[in-house]
Amino acid sequence: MSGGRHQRELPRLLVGAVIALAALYLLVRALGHG
Amino acid sequence: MSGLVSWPVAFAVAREKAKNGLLIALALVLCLTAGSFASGMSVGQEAFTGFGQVFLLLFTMFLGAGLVDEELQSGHAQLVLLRPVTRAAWFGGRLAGAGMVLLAAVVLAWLAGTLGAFRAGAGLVPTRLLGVPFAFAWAFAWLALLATLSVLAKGWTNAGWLVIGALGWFSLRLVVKLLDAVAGMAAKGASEGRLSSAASELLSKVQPYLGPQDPLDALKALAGGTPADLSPFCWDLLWAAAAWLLGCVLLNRRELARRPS
Repeated sequence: MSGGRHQRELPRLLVGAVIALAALYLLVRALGHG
Repeated sequence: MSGLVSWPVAFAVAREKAKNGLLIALALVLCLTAGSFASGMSVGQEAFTGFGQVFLLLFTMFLGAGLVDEELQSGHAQLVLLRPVTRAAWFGGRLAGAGMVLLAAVVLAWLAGTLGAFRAGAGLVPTRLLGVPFAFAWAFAWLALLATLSVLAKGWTNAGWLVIGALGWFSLRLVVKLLDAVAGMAAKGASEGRLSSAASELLSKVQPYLGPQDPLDALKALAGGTPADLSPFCWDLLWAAAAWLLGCVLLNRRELARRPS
């Protein structure tokens, strides 16, 4: 009952947030050491 | 947004956790610590450093202990998931609900710290306002890690894993340091080219990336007008989002049917 494909969808917003925050962290690190 | 967080689940968790006596007691201790450690020199970090930081971490650990697994074990989760709610939204709801209670505790402790600082003669520093997002980001990153561990660990053992992991790591560092000291005595102090020195150095360099980083040092720098290192704050945001995503992935793979005992 609880195991359909739809039920296991990952939120795209969260995937996008992880990528964006990783980029932000690297940017802040690079600026901080520049 | 509905795919990320199921708000009915989040509000239910927030109500349940806000009534928890242990959490209320810890929040009170956190406020008292914040108020009593504030001084005329503090710039908003006083509520969450030293003892304040220890109590905030304790509060977070009790908040996150069994956050996901208790609902799976009791069968509540399975009932909720019969509705059109994705597993990720349910997980997000549990985490966001606990996060609301955490935010409330952080704001209360910050208010207590601010009142204490004003009474001690501190001026109004704009950076003081940053104490809330900075401390919350740090604590929420730990909470997200606890929630993710709770997908794998039984009951309250997710908090236990965290403690054991930390103890194991610091024991490893201590052993390597001791080995290095012994090797140093044998080599009469020359540390160049010694494997144990290199290992000790490597471990200390790796350590900040094994968990959330304390971002509150930046407040002092900002208040003093010197360049502040905001990378720990960004690291915590990344850590929280990554742990959240990992938690969703792990929950999607977990077998939800209750095993016959």
